[in-house]
Amino acid sequence: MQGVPGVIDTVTLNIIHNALTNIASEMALVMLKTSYSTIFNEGLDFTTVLLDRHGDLIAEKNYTPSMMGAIPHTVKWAVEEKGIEHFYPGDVLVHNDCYRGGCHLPEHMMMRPMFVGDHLFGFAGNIGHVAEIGGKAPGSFAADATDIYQEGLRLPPVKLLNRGEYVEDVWRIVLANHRTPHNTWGDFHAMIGSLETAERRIRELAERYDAALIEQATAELMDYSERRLRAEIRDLPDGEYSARMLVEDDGVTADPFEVRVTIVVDGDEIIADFTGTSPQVRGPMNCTVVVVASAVYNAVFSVTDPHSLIPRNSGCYRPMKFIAPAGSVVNVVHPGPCVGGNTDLQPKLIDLLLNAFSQAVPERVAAASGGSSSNFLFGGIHPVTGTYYTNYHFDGHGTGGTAQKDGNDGEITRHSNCRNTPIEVFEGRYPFRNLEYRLMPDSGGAGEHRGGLATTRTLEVTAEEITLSCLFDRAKIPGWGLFNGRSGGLSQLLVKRVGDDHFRTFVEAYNTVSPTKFTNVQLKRGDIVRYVTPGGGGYGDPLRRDLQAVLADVRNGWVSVGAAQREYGVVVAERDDDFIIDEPASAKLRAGRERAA
Amino acid sequence: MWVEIERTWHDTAVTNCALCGRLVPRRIWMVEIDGQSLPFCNEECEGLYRSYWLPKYGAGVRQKSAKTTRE
Repeated sequence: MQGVPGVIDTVTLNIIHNALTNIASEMALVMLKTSYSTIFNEGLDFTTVLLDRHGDLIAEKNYTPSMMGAIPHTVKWAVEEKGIEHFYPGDVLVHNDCYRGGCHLPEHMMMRPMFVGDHLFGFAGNIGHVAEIGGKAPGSFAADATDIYQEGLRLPPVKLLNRGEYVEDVWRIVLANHRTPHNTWGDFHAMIGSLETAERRIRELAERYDAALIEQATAELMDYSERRLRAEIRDLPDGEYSARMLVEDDGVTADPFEVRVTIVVDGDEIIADFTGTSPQVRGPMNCTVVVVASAVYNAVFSVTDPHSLIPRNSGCYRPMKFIAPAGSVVNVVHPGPCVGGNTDLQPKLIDLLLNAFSQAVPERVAAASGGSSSNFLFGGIHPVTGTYYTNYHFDGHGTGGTAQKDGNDGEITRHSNCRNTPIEVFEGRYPFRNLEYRLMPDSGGAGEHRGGLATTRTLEVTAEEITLSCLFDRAKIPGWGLFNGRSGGLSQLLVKRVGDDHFRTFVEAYNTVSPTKFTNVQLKRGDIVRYVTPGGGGYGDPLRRDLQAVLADVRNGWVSVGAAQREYGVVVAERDDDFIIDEPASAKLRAGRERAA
Repeated sequence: MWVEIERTWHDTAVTNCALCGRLVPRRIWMVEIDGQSLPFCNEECEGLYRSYWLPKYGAGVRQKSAKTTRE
């Protein structure tokens, strides 16, 4: 320490901040390098954090934003419920209870107290999406689940390790209820190893800087982040900004439900109020309260600190409040199912919040994204190994256009920030052959800045049988455009069974209730599945899109000649294996449409 | 006033804050408002309930977040 007694100098503060962040990054690397499942080591569907002994976040490796907002709540509540006096050196606690701070059942939070000598410094924590946890569907993603018990094994906060020793009874229960216990064993140990690494590194850091100094630094960093975020919020115009949306169905019934939000910006604080939202639904599109917290933090950070310049810690969360009525679709209570609420309602909540913010800061928001994780789950007996396998696969959708640029093409949802699995890894592990994987033309909503493109993939079954479950959304209600931008493309799931001469919907082929949300369909060798993810909405009037940008889209195969004329008022002709713009015809067409408008 | 939830280890019930809906695991800020006992996370949630929620939605409207769910 230098300068004013009791105040840490900026250089030391930065060094400690970076050291803590690097520890969180190393925790993530341990999980990436030692896990068994592709959802971890390819998808990166996990996150790692350090928390102080009060459960406040002090550093993170933010692979998955949806988990980031959750984990400070989850850890605090687990500590309060168990009692801090029950945490000993070497303990590891696991927890996936949706009604106690879980995101959805597959996402398991693990935490370990970090001791420096006899002193409880804080907790290392991580959340990872465990690919198979039992329940009615292989992959534990039942789109027609009507209660939590169909979604898998629920664990309230319980110890996996007690003072460094296996709690064998808990392990035996867990492994007996997961379809792929070998993977669970490996992934759980990847998570445990990540926590052990954190504690070791904290002890090393405490040898360089006294533990008390590090604790003082983390407290100052939280105050600093709070001050920075409050300053950003103060720059937003005060007021109330409301938005509402319909979500197409819950997987069990065909009925839509409504989510409402009012954002109150009052000085340097923000309230996101979801009062008036539909009661929780029968199917698994409900989300938990920590999912709402994550969505709010995500949206507020997007408009106040899009380049993540403010250190992410619990100080950032202090100026943000949310109201999520228990028993509503944004705060599920027992025994409501919720696996799809995390993956497919959460991105739409962020879109909805940005829609409300568009009234205050139109230049800082995006039109609606595809808003679906396009969850594709399958499993069965592997034809090569003869053992049970399952996989949770997802593909990117289009994000919404913004005031500055087009939406991103084929990007995994903004709340998950995950990666897709490369085809080589996918085919090496699972009995599907990829026949096609590409961006979907005309799926981005037209706009001055168009929505990002969806992806499409076609897969052929190469095993005798595969059990398939899917939860795709935005098959009926597209993601909206903003400021005269057009809606994004819809999602679609089709199947061509052996002997069929054309693709059909799953409703037609298997009599499912929903075309894109169903559980345990049996595919046979040679069956072909094709899906399209949803596209992003456009931002601004398509007639104001730069002509050369439209031409580039046509040349790239992202916008068809027909859509260029229909949506953008741009006449494109094909000449000598290239495309050119007919500028006089385009000018006339656009002028006519503007007059008509 | 602060109230400690007394639950045996085999009681699976959970209580949610009357305003924000978050879980209140053990210590509840319990307040009597209009003849109703309402559980809050803390004084801050009670304050927001009084300063924001009640004026906006009315004293007659029962806040549905005040919920203890038993299995």
